[in-house]
This record gives sequence, structure tokens and C-alpha cells, in this order.
Amino acid sequence: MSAALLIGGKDVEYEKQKVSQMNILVATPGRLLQHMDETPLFDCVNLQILVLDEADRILDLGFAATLDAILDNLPKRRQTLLFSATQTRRVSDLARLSLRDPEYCAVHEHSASATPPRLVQMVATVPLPQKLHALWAFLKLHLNHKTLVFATCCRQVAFLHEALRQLRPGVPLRCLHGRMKQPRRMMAYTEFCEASAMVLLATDIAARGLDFPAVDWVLQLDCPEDCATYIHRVGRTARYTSAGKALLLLDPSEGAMVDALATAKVALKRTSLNLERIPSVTPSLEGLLTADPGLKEQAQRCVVAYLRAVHVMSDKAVFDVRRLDAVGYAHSLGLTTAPRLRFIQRERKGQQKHAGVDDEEEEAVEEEEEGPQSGGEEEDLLRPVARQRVSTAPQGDDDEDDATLLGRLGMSAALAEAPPPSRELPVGDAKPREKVKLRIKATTGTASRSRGTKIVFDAQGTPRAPLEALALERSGDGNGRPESGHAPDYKAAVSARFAQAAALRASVDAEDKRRERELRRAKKMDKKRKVKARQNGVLGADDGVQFGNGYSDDDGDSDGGSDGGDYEDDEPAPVAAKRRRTAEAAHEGMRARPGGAPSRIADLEAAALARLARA
Amino acid sequence: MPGLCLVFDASAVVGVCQLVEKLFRLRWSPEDGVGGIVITPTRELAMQIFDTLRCVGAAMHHCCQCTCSPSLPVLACSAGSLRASTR
Repeated sequence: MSAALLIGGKDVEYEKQKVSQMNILVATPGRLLQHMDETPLFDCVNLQILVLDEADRILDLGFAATLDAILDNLPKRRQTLLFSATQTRRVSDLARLSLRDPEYCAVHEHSASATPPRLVQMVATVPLPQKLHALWAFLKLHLNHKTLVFATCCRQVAFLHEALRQLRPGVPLRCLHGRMKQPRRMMAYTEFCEASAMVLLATDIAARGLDFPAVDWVLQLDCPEDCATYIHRVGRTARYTSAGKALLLLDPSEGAMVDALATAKVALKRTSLNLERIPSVTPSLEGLLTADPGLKEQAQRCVVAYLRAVHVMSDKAVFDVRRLDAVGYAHSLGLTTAPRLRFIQRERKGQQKHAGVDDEEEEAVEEEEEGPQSGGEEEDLLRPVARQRVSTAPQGDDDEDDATLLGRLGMSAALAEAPPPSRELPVGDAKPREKVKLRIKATTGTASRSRGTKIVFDAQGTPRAPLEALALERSGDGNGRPESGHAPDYKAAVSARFAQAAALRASVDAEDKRRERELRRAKKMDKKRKVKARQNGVLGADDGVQFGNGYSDDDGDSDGGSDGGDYEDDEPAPVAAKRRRTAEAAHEGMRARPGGAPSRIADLEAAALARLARA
Repeated sequence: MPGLCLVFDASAVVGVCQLVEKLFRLRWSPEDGVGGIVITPTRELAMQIFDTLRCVGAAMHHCCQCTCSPSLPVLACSAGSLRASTR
């Protein structure tokens, strides 16, 4: 006999060739149905026995459409075995499997506790923003343990894995969630099976049935969806005869879960964590997010996905997204701003009024945001399926991943639309709302940038436009006292002052011109006089040259013998007298020439000033 | 079977043993087509059950070879022979 394993993420073509020769199949619902639909020569008419492991999950509405389609392909006469730790006894589910005379067999039906006796279960109340710090502290404290950490959704697990990995806790870290590729999933699974000290971050896909050997701790970071999920999650530890510990972290708003668990025969021990002593990892996370924009995006998605998951949970007594500190949670992950939560806004709108054009748009955006699921898998087939639950019977269902969550989303949208609008709104509100965009005008250069306005403060400290202040200063009493009575008159005052200034300028201009003319004339006359003087005194000029020479000689002589005045006296008297005279004249000329011109200029200036004063 | 439960998930062992035993009793042959299906919600669980099935099937095959009585599939064999038959 030959057996085959049919699961998503593997080579379909190869499976198609081989599947018709098989006798026993182990399969996930999606891939099995795919083969039933697509593969030729594959039929199950001879089927003798059908085994449903985790039957309550399989019979859950998340898999309902797929399972019904599979059952249509199977013969009615067969033996059916259902296995689960939290078995459903709902007749409708059993009828779907066309069971006749079902036999119910339970190992611990009458035991006091729904969980294994060697399991120590604890619950601690930790506010949502502190959970990450608590997780970090827990990991640092249990480095040599094998720990399984459960979170609600794939995004959360992906972000936590990446962030904690980069923070280096000192223990191997793996993650397991529905968005991973199959080889990585298998790798994480086998590695965690074999390791002795490791942390596996997982969604609820690892909650059921998986038999990891020797898990020491099960840490539930978020509140489980229901009691059945809790029982399955903690069932990963304390297998068979071994012991184990489980810790559940609950937000203060989720306190009702403890009571629900108590009614489901789960005995929890309350512990308290010293939250003040737990160090914050937010600063290091902030650094990581700044360095890596991809991680930042993951963090944003983590927040949105978690809150959406809480939002679509069926048990509204426990889960209330409005009571969670979303902003604090976002900040604790190192984000500076909390991401937008569209689904809450949409629900508000849905409660107010029917879905409009706007809603559809947003829905499209939402879908886009959600991203493509890994194709051709069982998860894909779950997309349109809505889940619903009867709260009375403890009935199992856990999350394969976001796909089922999406199904529930669709359901909640349907529910939101179902109730009639509570009140009629004015027509204006029904219109698609205008999108107001705060856009800063594009500035290309400094020229287009505004430079502010100039304000002049007067003595009293009253701010005024510069022109006005000037006008008041000039016209108002000459003391700069503002005439607060008639401020608009300043324009006339300004124009008057302008005319005054223009007249003054004209007169000054005329004065300047005249002065320049005088100066030019004086210069010309001076030049003429010089020329005349040169023509008259050619000899004098020659003398000057000689005098210069002679004077220097004399100088030398007199320097040579100041006491020898006899030599001078030796010279003939008329020559000496003449020389002395010319020298004096030359001295006079030298003195008069620099001194004469300034006196004339000073005269001119005085005249000009007198004229100015007259004007 | 309790021995197997030490190594594997109990429900998987029970289900798989039941399945294999039933087909064995019916003297199922490869030409008869699909005789049994196990459906699980997650892939990892499917892998785990498949491992169990391989082990159980191999042991049963070995056992059947040893005792030559397919009507009494008893899972009794030494670890060494189990290993040898799985290889």
C-alpha cells in the first residue's frame, strides 16, 4: 500500500501524476479539494475510512464550504473517525458527515480539569502597551527553555520575530505563521522539534495537534479567541507524562476571559508581574525602525492587523477594540504615530448609514492592503467564508491565519449592514465626503517664498504699517505723536511729504550743479594762471631748478660748516642778496600755493552754504 | 500503541492505526484506489500524521512479514527492526 501527503505549497503537477495510484492520503482540505476538482483519474468511490483530525476545527465554518465539497465526492457508506481534544457534539455538524449511530469516546470526560494535571497555568494582567516589554523580559529570563509564544495574527508574529531577532535575545528564535513559504515553515517546524532551547513565535496554526517534544513554556501573548483555543494552545506543553508551564497575558479589558475559562474547567493561577521593573524595549525598537523602513511598515501592519483581529472576534464580552490602548501599543512598538484604523471608522459609518461609494473604495484599498495570500493553498479557499458561532456550546475553532480572519471580517461587514439604520441623516451626510488635502504650495525658489511683513512699533508700542508710521511721525505734531483719530490721512501726508522731498531735492540738485560749475571755473582759472605764471617766470622757473641745486649745495655747505660763516661772506654780496631773495620768493610761493587754493575753496563753500541757507 | 504514543501524538496514532488496520483487514491492494483519507486543518499537522503513518505502516508491513498473518496486525517489533523497515 502506498500513502501520500497532500498539502499546500508543494508541487501540484507532480502530485497529480502520482495521486491516482495512492491508497492512503493525508491532506489539508484545500489541496484535497483541488485534486478532486482538477486531477483526472482521481476518485474516491472505494473509500472505506475517513479520519478527521481536530474535527471541531475542520467542521468549523472556516472550512465549511471546502469540507462540504469534499464530502460530496466521497461515498456515503464509510467509517468516519473524528478526533479532537475539544469535541463538538452539535448534531448539525455530525449530520453533515452523515454519521449513523455515532459512538462518543472520551478519555478525561469526568476529570476535574480540561487541561493536563502536570500543567501549571498562570495568568497575568499586563496592559497592551507593556506586553512587548513583558515578552522581552520573559525571554531574557528563560534563555535555556523551549518556549512557544502564541500571538493572534501573522503580521504580529512576523514583526515580533524580525524585531526580536535584531534585538538579539540570546536564544534561537523561529517563527511559524500562515504567510510563510512552505519550505521555511517546514524548516521552522523541524528545527523547533529538534532544539532543546528555542523560542517559536507562532499563530494559532501551531495551536492544535502539533507534537513538539519537551516544550517548557507556553506563553500566550494575546487573549485566545475562545476557551477551546486556550486548551489547545496550552496543550502543546505537558505532553503525556511530562510537566509544563503556561502563562497567559491579558489586557485589563479582557478580564472576562478568566471567568469564561473557569466555567470551561480550566484552573488558572493569578500572578502579577512587576511592571515597573520590566525594562522598556521601545527605545531600541525606535532605533531599529528608524534604520529599517521595512520593519517600520511591518510594525504598522502589526498594529492594524492585531486591532482588526480583536475587532472581528465574536466574543464581544471579552474583546472590545475601543478599550484597548491602540496608540500606546503603537508607541510601544517604536512607532511615533499610530496608524489609521480604517475598519473602526468604517464600522462607525456602517452603523450610521448604508454603504456608499466611498465605502467600496475603502474596501478596495483594504483588500489591496491585505496583500495577496500565498496562492493555491487551503487558506485561499477560505477567503469568502464567514464564520459564526453559537456562544453556548464551547465549540472549537482556531485561526489558520488571517484568511479565516478575513472571512470573519466579511461576516462582520455583513452584520454591520444588516441592522436597519438607526436614524435618518441629512442628505448632506450621505454624499461622498469631500477630500480636503492639506497641501503645501510647491515652492521652487526663494523668490516665491514669503518674507513676512514689516511692522513698525511706535513709542506707545502700537504696531503699524511702516508707511503709516512714517506719515504719522512726519505729519503728527512733528514729535512723532500718533494721530490715532484719522489714520487714513497718512496717504495725503505721505504724498505731501513726497512733494516736499522732491522740491528739496531739486533745489539741492541746482545748488550742487552751481557749485560744480564754480569749482570747474575756479579750476580753469587756476590752470590759466599757472600757465601765465610759467610764461612770465621762465627764468624764475630756471632759477628754481638752479635754486634747487644751489639750495641743496648751500644746505650741504651750511651743514658742513655752520660755524664757518666766513665762506658765505666771501661770496660777492649782490649775488648772495639775489639768491636770498629768490629763495625767499620760492619759499613764499611754496607756502602760498598749497595755502591759496584751500582758501578759495573755503570761500566757495561759504558762498554755497549761504545760498543754501537762503534757499 | 502506548509506546507509539510516547513518540507521536496519541490521536494521530489511534486514527492512523485504525485506518491501516481496516484496510489491512480488507486486504486492500494498490489497484483498489484510495481507501482512506486523513484530513487535518494545518500542514504541519498533516506532516506529523504522515510521519506517524509511515512509521505505523512500515511496522505493520514488517509485522505482517514476520507473522504471516495479516488478520492479526500486532505492532510488536524491536527498535532495530523498526528502523530497518523504515529505511
